[in-house]
Amino acid sequence: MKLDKSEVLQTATPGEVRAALLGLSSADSVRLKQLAKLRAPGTGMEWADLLNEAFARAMGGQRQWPIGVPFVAFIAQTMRSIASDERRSRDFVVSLDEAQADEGPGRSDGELTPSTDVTPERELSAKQQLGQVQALFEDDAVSLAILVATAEEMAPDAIQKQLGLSATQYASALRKIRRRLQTFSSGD
Amino acid sequence: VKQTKNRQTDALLDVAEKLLLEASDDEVLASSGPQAARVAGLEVQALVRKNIDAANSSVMAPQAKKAGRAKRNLTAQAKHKVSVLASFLRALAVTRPELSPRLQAVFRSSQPPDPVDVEKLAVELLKKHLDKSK
Repeated sequence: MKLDKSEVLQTATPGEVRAALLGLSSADSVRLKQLAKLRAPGTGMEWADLLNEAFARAMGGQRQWPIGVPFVAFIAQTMRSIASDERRSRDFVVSLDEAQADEGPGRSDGELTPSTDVTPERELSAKQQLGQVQALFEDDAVSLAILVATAEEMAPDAIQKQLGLSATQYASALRKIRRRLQTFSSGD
Repeated sequence: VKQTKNRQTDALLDVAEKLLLEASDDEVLASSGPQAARVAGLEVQALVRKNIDAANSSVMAPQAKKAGRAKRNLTAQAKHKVSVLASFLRALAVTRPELSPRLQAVFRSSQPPDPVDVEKLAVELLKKHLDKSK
């Protein structure tokens, strides 16, 4: 679906956000739980806290819902942003702790700035997430290869060509990946 | 290398997210099963309710305060009015008990009179007065 630019830029009123929240279907609820479970690892938050924070920001207007974007996708973007901020702030705390621990008599500038580098904490969180996804597909190299190639922004045609898949096989593999992701994110 | 790995992880999660968003309702519900879908529905609805209640209370709090103040003022005013009326009727009960047999009955007790009785008495006396002046 192609969206009109003005439609995307126009943001919803608090009443519209409220109506969208109250109108969430069962499938939307499952989807949101799956998405929250996907983003929560490494943030120090439970999936419900992450989703709750996204709802709160949408309701409070800190995150504006562009009318043209489906509501669930908007909440997913909000969770992504919160998760990213949370990881960064956790890194910051870690880097502050490290800086304070390193602070010896020779270090007196007292300047503590957040590190944008890859901290051990962030690396660990990335490893955990990567490990989770890899573990999901450890018995299915084709699915994992499709996922990785898609993440590397390879076009579907190129992926099919590289892996020697027909369009039907590719579509079926995508369905399989989706099912696994859903099953993984639906579990408690 | 580490940064590339982080970016790869983010990209993988973005792809996973995209796939989950693209799934049809039937696929989503089938993948979770009816029981898990019900649980997810309840959990998400609880979060929605929590946020809507919080928004309502933040909107309602100033209004409720204002309404509470207004009610307190009205009650105080009403009490004051009753007490003015009650004082007047109490004086009548002493000086003009013949006006109504209920006058002394209402003010017999040492307790403050019931505002409803005071009002009824006032209406009765007013009616009598109006009937007399016809």
